[in-house]
Amino acid sequence: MDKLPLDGVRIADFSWQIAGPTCTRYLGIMGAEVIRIESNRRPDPYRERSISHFINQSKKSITLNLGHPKGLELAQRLIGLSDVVIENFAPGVIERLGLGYQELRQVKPEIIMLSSAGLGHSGPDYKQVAYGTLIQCFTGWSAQQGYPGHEPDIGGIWTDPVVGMLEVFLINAALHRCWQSGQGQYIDLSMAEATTMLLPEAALDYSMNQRVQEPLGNHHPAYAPHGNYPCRGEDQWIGIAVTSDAQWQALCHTLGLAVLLPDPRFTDALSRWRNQDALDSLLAGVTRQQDGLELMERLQKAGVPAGPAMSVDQLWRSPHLRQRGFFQTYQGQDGKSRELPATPWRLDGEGGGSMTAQPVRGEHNAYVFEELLGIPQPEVEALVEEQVIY
Amino acid sequence: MAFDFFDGLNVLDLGQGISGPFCAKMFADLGARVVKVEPPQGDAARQLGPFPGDAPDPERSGLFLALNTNKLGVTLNLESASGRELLLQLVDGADLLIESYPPSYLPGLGLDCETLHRRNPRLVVTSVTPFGQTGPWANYQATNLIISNLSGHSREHPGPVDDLESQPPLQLAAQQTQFVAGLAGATASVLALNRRRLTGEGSHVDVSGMEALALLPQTTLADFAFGRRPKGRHKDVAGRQSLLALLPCKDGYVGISPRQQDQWERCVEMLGSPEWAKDPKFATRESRLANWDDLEPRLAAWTSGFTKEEVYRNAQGHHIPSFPLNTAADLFTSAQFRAREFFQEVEHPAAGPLRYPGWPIQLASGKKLELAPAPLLGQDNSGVLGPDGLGLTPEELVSLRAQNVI
Repeated sequence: MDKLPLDGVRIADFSWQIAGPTCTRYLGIMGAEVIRIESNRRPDPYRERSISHFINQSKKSITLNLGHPKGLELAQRLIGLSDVVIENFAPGVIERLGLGYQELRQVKPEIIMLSSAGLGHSGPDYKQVAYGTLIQCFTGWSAQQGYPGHEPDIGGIWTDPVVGMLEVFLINAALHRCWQSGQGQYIDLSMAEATTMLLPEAALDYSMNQRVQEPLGNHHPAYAPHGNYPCRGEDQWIGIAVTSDAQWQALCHTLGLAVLLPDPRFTDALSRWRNQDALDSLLAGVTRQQDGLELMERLQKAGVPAGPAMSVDQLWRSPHLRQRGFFQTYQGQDGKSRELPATPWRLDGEGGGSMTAQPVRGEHNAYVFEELLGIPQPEVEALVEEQVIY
Repeated sequence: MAFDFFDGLNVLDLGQGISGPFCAKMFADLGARVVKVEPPQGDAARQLGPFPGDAPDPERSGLFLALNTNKLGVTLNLESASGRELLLQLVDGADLLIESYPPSYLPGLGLDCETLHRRNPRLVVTSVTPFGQTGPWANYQATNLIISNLSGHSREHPGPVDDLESQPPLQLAAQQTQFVAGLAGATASVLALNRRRLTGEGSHVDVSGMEALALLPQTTLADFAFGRRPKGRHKDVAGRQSLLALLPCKDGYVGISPRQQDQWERCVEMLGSPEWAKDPKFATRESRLANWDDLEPRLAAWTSGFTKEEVYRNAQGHHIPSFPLNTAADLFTSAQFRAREFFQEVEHPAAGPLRYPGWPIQLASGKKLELAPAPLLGQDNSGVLGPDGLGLTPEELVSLRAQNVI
């Protein structure tokens, strides 16, 4: 891409753990200069894990002791040269550090600041201790995400990466507004509410019918067959989702089950839905001998929505994703080439700018303190000595 | 005052179903003027539940109502020449056009991107589809289940299970894959609009739902990139990763995670410092993980004596991460959600007053979300196409209606 959407935008990134860094990775890939403010006093617990090498790509890193008055002053000077501040400390921490929005807008009135927290920064419960997966319990997500008849489960990590994407949208929306009107913005984001926002059916159903939706597993509230069916190989499954009579007929013909077409249990959508357990067993008997990806191709060519439950290595090998350039190669800190996906979009055919390795902590201290802030090198050395740059 | 992120921005929403309309809703709720263009028979989402009393009615689909707040609604038959001409006139004044048809549909009608850009070079065209505009699967069909599967989520998400056969890979509940595709679409759209400030030109934004979902299991992707092979789904193979438990209560379940040593010590205190907690097999995080099968029933025996709210309050009072397993009913009474006015009552002419999820944000400017109800089918035909809009006369509107163009 000739020009990236966020060329010339600087982000002061105080975020850590997962959601915030997920957001700033996208901002970096889309052209922003993301300066991650880290500290040896308070290292990111995720930094040594492999996920950090993913979500902290395409950023710069400095180390700054925000507990020191000089550290605070340097942070404010950096913010004065930035367009956006993002943070996800526990509620109250950024204000205690002296970097709350009310202070920052004095430094730079048009600054955009986004603060995210489990339950947001207001309301009676906002100070509760929150972790991403546990927040999912609070939101209605975990209550819906499960197998019917089984005990509920918290489920995998969902809220953090989804909120990360939403933050990219919100920051870009605020930049759009700022470029139109010159105005800054402070956004207080609740991760819990963001998760609930994507489940409006449950809220509307309760509002309309006072009904609490139960987990459906792989079934659908109105259509059948709809589920994951066993395939050849260990723990291999294909999803089949039939939502019309035409798809049902195509499914039966493709699977060699035309004998089911006149069966009164399956002639229309409602009878198929009522008899879905019997239908599921019949289909499983046939799918079990087949290869998932091959069966998907045959069903899709016949017009039936189908697709196997892919594993990460199958994703990596997917000719479809390969052809679309989903994976980008980058040079790791260890000098090795690796591949990771960049973005789920192409702007005029391109996925974004270059993907760079996660920086070493403090890798860009010289650039930021000497070049950007114009502090002479001996003074920078003194600040390192004083554990301000630390 | 309503949210004003997109004041003055004109958006055409050709999206049908869920992902395209959700993408457009993200602009509508944040202040853009969004004209939703439906075929004369209406958006397919009007057939999707929930419905009041489970009685299907195209003006009372809960999903449609939630997806189309703050939009104007017109009907246009794009399969007629006059319908296409009217669309192109709307394109003249638009900044962003969002669509979610199969990739060959609009080009087949002569409404390909090049044509749209010739008409309006500053237009951003966003296509949100399950597999994107290119690649061998571009024209395949997908639903929430299929995208859950193909993105790797179904295998990833239930976590380790007891029994592979009765607990197959699991789709994301409801229609969340389509909502995430819409979210990615809106994100890419605003990025393209922001790029326009540098180039002066529109662009074609190609968003893939499969890719949006595939990017979410970040630990799995990173582990794989660093050479770790994926483990099987069975509990024996996958092992417990953290001290995170969903435990039974009198009235449901509560999630609790005393993962750090100090949190565990306060947890023991909360339990009344029972004898068993002194056993060395529960002394460290590692040993608690290793002896989880022994530990969990002891914790469950304690939580079973309380309501989920009681355990949650008690645990949080001890600074132990904990949340109740809330249902939609609990959320409507949550003091936290109430204080932030997350659910908003919207009065719709056909569906009546209902409570909708709002936005997860509060602004220092004090501006609040305002939700106008989703449009009735063709509700704004006269306003958008008529004398005060594109300039058609009332007679022309009648004639177009008779020809099934609008």
